[in-house]
Amino acid sequence: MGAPAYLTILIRKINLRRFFWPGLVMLTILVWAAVLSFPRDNRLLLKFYDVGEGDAIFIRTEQGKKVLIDGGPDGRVVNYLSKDLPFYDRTLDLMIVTHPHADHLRGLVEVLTRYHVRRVVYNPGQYTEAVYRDFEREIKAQNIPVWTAKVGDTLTLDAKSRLLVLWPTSINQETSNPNETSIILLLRTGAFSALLLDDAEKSVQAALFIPPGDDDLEVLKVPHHGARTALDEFLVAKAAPKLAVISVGRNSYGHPSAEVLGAYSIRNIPILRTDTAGSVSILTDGLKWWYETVR
Amino acid sequence: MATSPSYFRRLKLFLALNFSRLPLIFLLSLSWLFGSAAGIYLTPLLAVAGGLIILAVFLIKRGPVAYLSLFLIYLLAVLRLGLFSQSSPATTLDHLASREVNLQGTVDGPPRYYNQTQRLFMFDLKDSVSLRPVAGKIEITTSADVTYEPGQQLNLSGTLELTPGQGGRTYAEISYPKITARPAPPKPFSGFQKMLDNIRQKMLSILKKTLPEPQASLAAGVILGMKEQLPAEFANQLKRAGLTHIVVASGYNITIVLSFSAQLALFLGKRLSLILGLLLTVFYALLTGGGIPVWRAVLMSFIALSFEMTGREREARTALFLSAAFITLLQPESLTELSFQLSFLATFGLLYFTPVFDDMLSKIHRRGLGSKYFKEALSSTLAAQVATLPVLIGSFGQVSLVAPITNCLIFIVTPLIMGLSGITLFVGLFSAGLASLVAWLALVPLTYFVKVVEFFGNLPWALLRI
Repeated sequence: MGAPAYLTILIRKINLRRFFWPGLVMLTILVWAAVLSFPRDNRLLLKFYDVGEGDAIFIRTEQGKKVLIDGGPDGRVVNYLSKDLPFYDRTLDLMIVTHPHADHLRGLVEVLTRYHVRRVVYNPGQYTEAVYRDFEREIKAQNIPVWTAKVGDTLTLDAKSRLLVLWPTSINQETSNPNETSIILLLRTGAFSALLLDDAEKSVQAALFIPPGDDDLEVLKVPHHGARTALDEFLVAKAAPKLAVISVGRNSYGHPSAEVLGAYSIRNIPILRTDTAGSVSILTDGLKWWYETVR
Repeated sequence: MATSPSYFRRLKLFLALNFSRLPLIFLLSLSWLFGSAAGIYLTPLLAVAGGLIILAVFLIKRGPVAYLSLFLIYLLAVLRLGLFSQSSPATTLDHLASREVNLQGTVDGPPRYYNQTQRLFMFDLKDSVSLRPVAGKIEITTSADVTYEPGQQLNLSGTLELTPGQGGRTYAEISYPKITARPAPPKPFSGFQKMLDNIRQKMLSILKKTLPEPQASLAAGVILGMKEQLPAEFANQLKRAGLTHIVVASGYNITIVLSFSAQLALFLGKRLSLILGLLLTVFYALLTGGGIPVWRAVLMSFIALSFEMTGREREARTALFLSAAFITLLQPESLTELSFQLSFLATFGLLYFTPVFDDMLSKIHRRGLGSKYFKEALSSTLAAQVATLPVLIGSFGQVSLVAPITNCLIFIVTPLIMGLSGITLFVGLFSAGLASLVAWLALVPLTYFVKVVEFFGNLPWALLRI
């Protein structure tokens, strides 16, 4: 509404010279914004986004390779990517779907419609969920190369960083519970390692083989948003991480459970929760590592 | 200032309603509007009686014939509404607690997803059998196997559970109801609609591919009126900053489209640019997929513009009342709709109060900060704000205190955003790379807008609850 009054202000004679200075100012701002948004920190960034009850993990390696592991239950992940990628950069080198539950997958569909994704890693299966169909349709429509992943595979990110696949044992396991066949990854860069247990069930964790030499674990992503049923005390003791991260939001399941919190705190392992601390960033140069949280 | 009347005198002129100096068409429209309002809010008998009393007063004080005809119009409006059967009053959710219910409703906002389930709100509820409206919203939990879209119509059957929620409100929920999607009502020109839908989706995807968030959603909101995909946090900040009206397809966008075409008047001549303006706004309204509010705005803006273009700028007030009367003629229940009330009042404020604020601001300072642009922006925002305030408070119980400031700050960039995003969309139809370049330019005003919203939306005192 408001036609007449706005009109009197907006209807002015067109004068192209009027656009010169505003145009120049905008261009200058743009160039400076581009320069300033260029990523200058050349440490590896491992970031657990606060996407509510779900998982979304972003990795930017020292050489600038960008990886997204799961996308959370809605489009929120896009807001975070918008902040972590400079505005002119619309590509992701790798997208990994650990398992096709909606709280991990839905956000990725949104990402696929916005970003150019060079490669997708996931294990296809007979899933009925609508979001899974959307996801596969988008991948086919854009003709994105797909890799599968099983134990023993290594995804080399750059000269220094790689993701080791610790699970599943085969790519064609028929199961009614995708949590049993979800892709479990170990990120290694220099002497730093992080174990990403997504929604792994207790039985999976018990069968998990962590390659020797990686016993010294820095960061562990607590499985299944801190669910009691996914707690394997033996693994917590064996892995003995320096920091545990729980990716969790408001939920009616009681995540994270008191038992899980207790299992870590009794071993003096600090816990960071995305619902209370916000997104958790871990920065490492391969030797030392730092963490910070952003709400 | 000696030549222009003081705002007190203006106000007196306005309040005294010197009828003999007002055009007949204005008075006719006014009578019709009052009649419609009386017909809706009063019982027919009371409405007629009230009208008679006012008529009597006027007849005694002034001449008879003109006022009798005004009363006739008034009466017609009242009677016409009397013919509409009063819809049965809404059932409250309390009446349905812990009962098996069969409801139909509309999906409100995007569903939230959990492991294998999703939760979504439903509004616009009706009993599926009796078709009686049910007041309130319910939340349903269902499996994530099926995708539901905001605005989709669903039939639900299940047990309604009520739990007390925050702030004394009750929270109504149905877990795992039986859901059947209701087919969308058949639309005329469905092929055409589908084509427009495709264009809209294509345009949205161009914005999403070229711009980061929340700038992409903001651009989609400003140019296409699509506010569904705004990030929740940003939408909340927009509300607090008093800028939500920018992201709905409304009269504001239509005004800007019209003013672009008005610019062309210099090259095409008034008549041709008027026709072009009409075509452009109709296309725009179709494109935004906007419902009745957009069409109302098109009608109102167009009447206003044609008055302006035919050299009757002074009659803009008549144009406003004429178009409002026109709308209530077509659809009397518009009067009770918030969007109609707000757009009518905003324009009313712009027309009647802007000069008042202009005078006041001129008195406060004549030079310096009060550059012409800023003064015009501030007085028109204040005018629209003041006029819509009662309705805003009445229906939302809250008002943004920073709205006058934020509206001034974004006043200049909104046309810029529309223009540059529009060019991005146009170019994007041919080349994605080129679209990115234009989009980066659009990013400058968009980011400025976002920063204004974030700064003012985060001020703890930005929103006053009443």
